[in-house]
Amino acid sequence: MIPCDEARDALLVADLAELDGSRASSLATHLASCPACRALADRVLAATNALRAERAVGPRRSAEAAAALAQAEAGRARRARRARWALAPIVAAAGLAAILLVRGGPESSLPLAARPIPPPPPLVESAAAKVAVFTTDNPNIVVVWQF
Amino acid sequence: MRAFPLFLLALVACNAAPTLETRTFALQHLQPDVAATMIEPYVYDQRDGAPGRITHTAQTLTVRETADNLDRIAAVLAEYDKPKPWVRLHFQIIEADGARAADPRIAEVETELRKLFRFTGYRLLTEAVMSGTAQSDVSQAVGEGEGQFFIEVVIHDVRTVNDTGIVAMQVRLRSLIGLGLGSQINAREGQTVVLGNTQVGEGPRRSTVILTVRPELVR
Repeated sequence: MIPCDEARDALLVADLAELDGSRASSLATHLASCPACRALADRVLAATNALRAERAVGPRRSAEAAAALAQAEAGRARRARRARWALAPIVAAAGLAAILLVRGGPESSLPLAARPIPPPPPLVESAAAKVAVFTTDNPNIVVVWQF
Repeated sequence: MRAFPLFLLALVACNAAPTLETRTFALQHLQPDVAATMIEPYVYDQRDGAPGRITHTAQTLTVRETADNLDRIAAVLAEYDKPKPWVRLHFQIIEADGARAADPRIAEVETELRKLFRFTGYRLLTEAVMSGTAQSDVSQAVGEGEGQFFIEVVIHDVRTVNDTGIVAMQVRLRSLIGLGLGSQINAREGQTVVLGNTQVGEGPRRSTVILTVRPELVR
C-alpha cells in the first residue's frame, strides 16, 4: 500500500472516481484503510461537488472548440467591460469553464473567488496536467493554477 | 597507367591504422564515469588494428585516440567540466483573502493576481530562501504551529543561456492544515512563478495558499 504522503500528493490529481472508491487504484486502496486520508479525500469530494452544484455544466467540447470559445468569450468580456456591462465577469468565468470542461478528469475545484475576472489573460491549458497557465502583463510573472 | 600506383597508394593509405596518441585529462568537477560516458562517442573501440580506449581514475580520464579525436574530447570536457551553477530560490507563501492592506513585499504579484482572481486581498504569510545546485534537492520548514509549511524542491537542471539562467525544478508545498501543491517548473532567472490551487480547509479556515518562487543564479 502506498504511504500517506504519497497518497496525499495523489489526492491533488486523482480522478473523483478514485476518491469515492468507484474506481480501483493504489490510492483508492489506501483511502479504504486510512481514515485520515479518507477524511481529506471526502473534503476534496465535498468541495468539488459543491462547485459542480454552483456551476452550470455544459456539454464537453473539443479542445479547439473550447479554446475558440474561450477566446471569443474573452474578447466579448473585454468589449463588455469597456461598455461597463455588468455581466462581464460571468462571461469571462464561462470562458474559463469551457476550457476546464475539455479535461477528461474531475471538474475544477476552483473556488468562486478564484474564477478569473475580466480581462482574462491568454490562457494555456496543459493536456498532460490539470493546470492553467496564465501569462500576465508583467513579463516576469507567470501564474500556474492547479485544479 | 599512371593512375594505378596512385590507386595503390590510396588503398594502402585507407587500410593503414591511424596513429593513436594517449592523453590524460584532469577532471575538476565531472565524475570520471560520467565524463567517460560523455566522450564514448568520440572513442572508436572497434577500429581494426588501432582501437580507441578510455580508462579513468578517481580524478583523471586517460584516452587513447587519434590526435583529432583527442582534441574533440578536450573541447567536450572543457565545455562540461565546470562547477555546477548555484541557484538561490526565493519563496513567498501568500494567503488569498488574507488581508485588505497592501503589502509592498508582494505588490508586483498582487497586482497581477488582482487582474486574474476575485480574492479580496492577499497576505504574505512567510518567506524563505533556499539554495542548491543542479541535481540536488533541498527542503525547509517555515512558519510555526498550524501555520507551518514545508517546502521541498528538487532542482533538476540549472542552465545558463547567454546572460540569463533557466532552472528546471519540482516544487512542492505542504501545510499542516490542508493539502499541498506542487508542480514541475521551468523558470528563468528573475522570473516569478506563482503556484496556486484550491485548499480545502473547513469553515473559517478555508483559504487558498499561493506559493511564489523566483530563481536567482549565484555567480
